[in-house]
Amino acid sequence: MKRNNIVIHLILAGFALICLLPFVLIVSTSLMHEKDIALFGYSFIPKRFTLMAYEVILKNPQQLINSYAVTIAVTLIGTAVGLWLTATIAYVMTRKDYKYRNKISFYVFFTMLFNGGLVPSYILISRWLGMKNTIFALFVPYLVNAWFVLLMKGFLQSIPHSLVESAKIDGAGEFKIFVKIILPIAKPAIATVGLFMVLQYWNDWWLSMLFIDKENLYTLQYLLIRVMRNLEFLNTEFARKYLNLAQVEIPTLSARMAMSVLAAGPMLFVFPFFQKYFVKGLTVGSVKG
Amino acid sequence: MRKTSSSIFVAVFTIAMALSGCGKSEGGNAASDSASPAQSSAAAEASQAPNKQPIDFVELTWYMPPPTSPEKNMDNVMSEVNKYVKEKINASLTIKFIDWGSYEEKMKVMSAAGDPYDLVFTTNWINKLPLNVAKGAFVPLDDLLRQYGPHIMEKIESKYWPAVTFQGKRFAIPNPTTYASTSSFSFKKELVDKYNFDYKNAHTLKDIEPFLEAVKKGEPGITPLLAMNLATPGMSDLNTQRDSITNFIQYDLKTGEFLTIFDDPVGKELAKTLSDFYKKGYIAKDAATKKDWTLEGKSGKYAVMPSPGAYSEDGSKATSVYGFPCYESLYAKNIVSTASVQSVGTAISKSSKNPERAMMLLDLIYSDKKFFNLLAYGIEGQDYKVVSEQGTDNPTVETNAEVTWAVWHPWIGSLFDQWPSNWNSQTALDKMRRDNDESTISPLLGFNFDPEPVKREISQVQAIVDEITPVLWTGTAADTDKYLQGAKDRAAKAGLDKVVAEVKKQYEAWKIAQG
Repeated sequence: MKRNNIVIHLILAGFALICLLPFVLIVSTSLMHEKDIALFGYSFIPKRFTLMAYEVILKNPQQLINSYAVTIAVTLIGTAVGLWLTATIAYVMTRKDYKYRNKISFYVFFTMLFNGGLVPSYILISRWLGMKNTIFALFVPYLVNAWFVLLMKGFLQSIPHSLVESAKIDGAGEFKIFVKIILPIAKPAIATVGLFMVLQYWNDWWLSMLFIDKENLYTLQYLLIRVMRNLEFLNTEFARKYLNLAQVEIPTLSARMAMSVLAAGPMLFVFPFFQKYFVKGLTVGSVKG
Repeated sequence: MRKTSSSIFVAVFTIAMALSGCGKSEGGNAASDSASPAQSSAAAEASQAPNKQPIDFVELTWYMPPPTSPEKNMDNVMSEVNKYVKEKINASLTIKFIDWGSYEEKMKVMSAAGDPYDLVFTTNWINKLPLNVAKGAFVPLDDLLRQYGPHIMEKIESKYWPAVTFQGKRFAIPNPTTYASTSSFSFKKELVDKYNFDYKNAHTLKDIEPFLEAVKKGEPGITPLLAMNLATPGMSDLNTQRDSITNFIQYDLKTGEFLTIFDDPVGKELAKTLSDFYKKGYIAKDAATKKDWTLEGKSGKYAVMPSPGAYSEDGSKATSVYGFPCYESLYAKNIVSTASVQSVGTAISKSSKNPERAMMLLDLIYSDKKFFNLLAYGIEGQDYKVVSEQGTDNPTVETNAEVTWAVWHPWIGSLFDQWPSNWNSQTALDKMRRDNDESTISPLLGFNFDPEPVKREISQVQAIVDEITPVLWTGTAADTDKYLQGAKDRAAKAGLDKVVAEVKKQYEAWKIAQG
């Protein structure tokens, strides 16, 4: 019995190690000299230890802090508003006594198959809604995602209608029913969709690229991707044509890893908190009682 | 607790409602004032006599990729620039640097959506000029140049204009730069000195063979030749003059014929030489699968490496690329082609509300060396210091070790108006200018092949080309003739002939249009 346990533990520990190793490799590569990477390849223990990659990326710490703030703000606001909208739409779609239920369902579904395309969306956001270079452009376009709505609808459908009816008999209004009865039950679903949304907002750089020209509104991912691409450019022939970079060793490979560390770090800590809901959320379809 | 959470939801909901509401009203304004003023102001400006001091203050925006980053001193430089711009043409200038990966996409979307911007960086390799012209994103510049751009007309030789002319109209300003690119073998200095190799007279793969042989014998840890796909050095020679139409079709200036990579006698000969080298062990066994030649070169494990991007007589380019002392020897000199003249230029957007003022700004850059160099080098004392000839219109300067501001001169004006500096010495600038003047100009200058009609065939043939070049240009094919023939048969099936026919057809049509 005891022995069995040890074997299982060893297997699981080995598996955990396999999951962990790539990240360790990323961290150690980010601390390597660019030249050593070229000479000896990626390795777990840096031959010579350097923080140059981080120095290059963090050259402007104010900008990084600022971008962190923007990303956190966008993620929080976007997720909160997005969850509310998603939950409300999904909820009315599950209410059998709602007249336009099918029409709304179709409308949501339709946008999954067909969308306006890049240019019309751009015109809508930047000109009609006038959101260019405002923080709204960073979260409004992602507020309602048809796929998340359908996911949420799937969860909410498992709540029996009689619950709504009994609340009504007790004198609760529609709004109260939704907020006090439906939402607490749907917590796992909200956590699941919420996590998706958090990830979506956290990892997004596309919206910043399209709509933001001002540096103080850059999101973290866009800032990092920008640093990366500019470093890559400085390592190309075009750059050399213009500038003699003899003395500078530009860390492209190690910087890439350093950036992953900076960008992925916070998410690594957020994920475990959501995880317990995440598992529950996936199994919520099975009705209890 | 419950109370607060529900009130937060309500608050959020109202905000969302309010947002969509106010957005709409703003949208109405934006839409109405975006369309008409462009035309009306254009009309007003046109009716004014040329060269008169413009009256209204306007704001100009200029989009380009970031030349270097971060641009630490941007605020100071731009405020200095704007003082000048305000005084000279009563305008302000905002430069927007869009990072390399996003630049093309962003400009495409902005042009398609009609977002107003004035000046834009356009080339044949990013934010492509021919595509933009085809889409009608840029305004023709002829009238503007005549009225507001006398200095530009003066500084750009008339022989180069055809490269940016489409259907008889000029659509970009081809900023003078080095038009004829050069390629060179890069030699590791240490080894050349050790084996006493006469690198100065080695201009072909055959010429460097004795050196490769000596290195192979005497240096067990060193691979003699760094060969890698398109980077392999020596894949052209000084006698060959070609103009590339696509990645696999070239126009031969001597014979006046279009050649494909599959039946190019010069290329075939070189591939055979490489194959010979490979068999003799001069090329790494896994050369065909390597991807990053700079990285490989930097490792210092090679004796002869790819061209550092351009030839420098003292080997400084190669030294800077590879990070250890190098020699260079020239092996190819390209001709001035449509692609090379288009390699860096400025266009005025169709959505610009003030194309006249934008042209005035460009003319200011071409006429005023001090302003031009301010825009490119930054501010004296902050970004660079004057080394000699202080106070003249051509001082020699030196930029800070850490670049705090830079816009590469050819991106905005003429490279030859650059003040000599640690970037380019006066000798180097004069040499580049001489090289331009002495270079052969392609008879196809101004011919832009439109791949659209044979897009499918091109991508299929390109896939075959992408597959064979890493093998051919590293000499790793067992039998070069057979391998090439096999690829040719497959390319024929993929529609190579159709592509060649289309190139010829467009070329003939272009020739007739030229008269």
